[in-house]
Amino acid sequence: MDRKFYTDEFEDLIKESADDFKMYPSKKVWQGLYNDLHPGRRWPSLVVTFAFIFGLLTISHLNTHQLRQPNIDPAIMAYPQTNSSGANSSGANPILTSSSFKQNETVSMQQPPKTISPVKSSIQNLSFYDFEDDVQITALTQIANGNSYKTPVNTANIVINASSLKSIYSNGNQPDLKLSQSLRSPEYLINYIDNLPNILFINAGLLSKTSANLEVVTTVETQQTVDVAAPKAAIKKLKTSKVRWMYSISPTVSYRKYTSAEALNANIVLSGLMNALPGYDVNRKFSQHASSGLETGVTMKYPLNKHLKFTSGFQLNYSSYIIQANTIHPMMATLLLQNQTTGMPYAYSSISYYGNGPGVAPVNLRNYAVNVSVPVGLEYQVGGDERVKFYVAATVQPVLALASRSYLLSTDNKNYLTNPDMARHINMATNFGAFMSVNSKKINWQLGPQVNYQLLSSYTDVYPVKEHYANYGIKLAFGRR
Amino acid sequence: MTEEVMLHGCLNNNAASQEALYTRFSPRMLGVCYRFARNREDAEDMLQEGFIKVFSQLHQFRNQGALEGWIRRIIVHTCINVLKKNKKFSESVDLIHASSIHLNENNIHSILQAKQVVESIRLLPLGYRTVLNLYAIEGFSHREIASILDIEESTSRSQYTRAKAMLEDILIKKKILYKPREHFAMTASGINK
Repeated sequence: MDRKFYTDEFEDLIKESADDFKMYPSKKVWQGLYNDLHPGRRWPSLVVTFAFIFGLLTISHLNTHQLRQPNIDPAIMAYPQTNSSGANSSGANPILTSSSFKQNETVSMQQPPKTISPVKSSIQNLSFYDFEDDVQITALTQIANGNSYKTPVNTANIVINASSLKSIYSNGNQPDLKLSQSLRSPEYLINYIDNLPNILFINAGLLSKTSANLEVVTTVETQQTVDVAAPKAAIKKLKTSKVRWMYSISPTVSYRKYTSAEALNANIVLSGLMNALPGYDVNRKFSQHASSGLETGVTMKYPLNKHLKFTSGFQLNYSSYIIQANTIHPMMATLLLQNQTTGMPYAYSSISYYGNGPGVAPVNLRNYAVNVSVPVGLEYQVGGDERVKFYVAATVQPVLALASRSYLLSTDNKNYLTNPDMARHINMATNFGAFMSVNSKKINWQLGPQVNYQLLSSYTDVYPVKEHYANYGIKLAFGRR
Repeated sequence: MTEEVMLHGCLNNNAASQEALYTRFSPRMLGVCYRFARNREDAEDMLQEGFIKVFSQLHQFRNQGALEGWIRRIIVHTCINVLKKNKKFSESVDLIHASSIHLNENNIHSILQAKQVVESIRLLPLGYRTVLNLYAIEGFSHREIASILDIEESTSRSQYTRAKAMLEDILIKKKILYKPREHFAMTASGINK
């Protein structure tokens, strides 16, 4: 009987002991499990990164290709056959050089080209201003075949080709300094103004050597006409040239701002688990410091007037900051969350491997966010000259979070734990900056400080502590002039 | 989070619910794995594999018993499957091989009560340990064990008898367990109070 009792006791002992035995798995088990259960969540960041790079390359390619499109015959210039009243002397159809848009399939010649006859014309009273890399001629007067024609700015459409007329023009006038700077670039599209029925090509080097009274001797196909659609198509193509693309990269210093006003929600305080002492400041409960980040993107700029530009684009942003914590023996930690419908708190518990106090060994935890955004905003020129200009800029940015990791402080402020499902996926940010714009021969460079601030918390509203990323950086941008 | 909400979330592949379920049951299940595994790393591998099965088969859970028991059964079977992949395991449950095994007493350490017993179980040879785990702790019958491990029922019985004797010896040496006579003697003299 003793033996039976002993056997039962022995078996009970090992069963109870084994049943009571618990071990806390390391975090890699859950990470491996999570990756296995949600394989798709590992890939969005890679996919978007590839899409971003592909997008940059595509835009870059299109941008370059676009600039090559106007295949300008260097020997030919066309200009409007206007009389003093501005009417087109050759009828409704405008005149266009046969070789100006060789690649434009919409051009349909109604008559075969006739002999090119030299025409002497003068351009007077040139006044213009410089848009960084555009020269906009605001008024010009043309004299052709002895007649003087005034071409108002809103009907002029001028494209200047550096090498087009150089060989056939000679004039001893002094260079116009305002023009000379911007027109030195060869083969460059200088200006486009809406509503002109045809295209005029003027030699850049020519203009740079002339004064206000500009005399042009050139050749014109006087009888060659094209379909009305042709110049429209040409104009449409040229319209895009007003858009400038800039590529940017900005090393940043990222930090966060915590607000806990809502954390002191009465319900949570009453639950007794939240520290509600007067002067409670969640920012003081952490030992954290800023960390490096990076922002890169492509920006489209469209001039609205002389000083103001509309900007938009696509950005990829990485922000992070460091939490100084300690590894601890795994233990359960609890977050008190707030039900958004009832306002009542509820508990979320998870295994914590990191403590906010003494522990086994110090460890740096990194909270980070990888976002894509579409900034929309304005740039305003506040000063400068033709070569160096100064701008202020501001954008608002709808943000999509691709990936993030947040170690959250448990409600008793003792442990850190994670909850990926509390991350907010759609956010909004704003960006302010100032920069200097410098033109080199072919490239426009921009450099200046910027601040990016995340408007909505990184977490959904169930978490009473609000985290807002703030990124301070120096932005370097470049693009073709 | 209630068990019902958690289960519903898990069935909808909700990560928060899955983590809640994992958080609730993983410590005990890792304890189960640890008794079968050679070391902690192996135990965690078993646990991960087991929970993958748990989440993939959760739709088969019919609420007819405790969720923990259902999960535990999957975890135990996972542990056995992992062990069976190891060639040495089939040798270790072989009776002839097992009879030649002797305990290395140097591995006996003094640790906390529950952990002491578990660690003592882990000191047993793999075959002994597995049968003892399945029979004494997980409640499988010898017929079930024979089926699971592909051995004879009599082998399972023998393995268990030897495992129990060896574990008894370990526990007595660690002063966790006392022999009946010694126990009564100590109780009578008030030593064990």
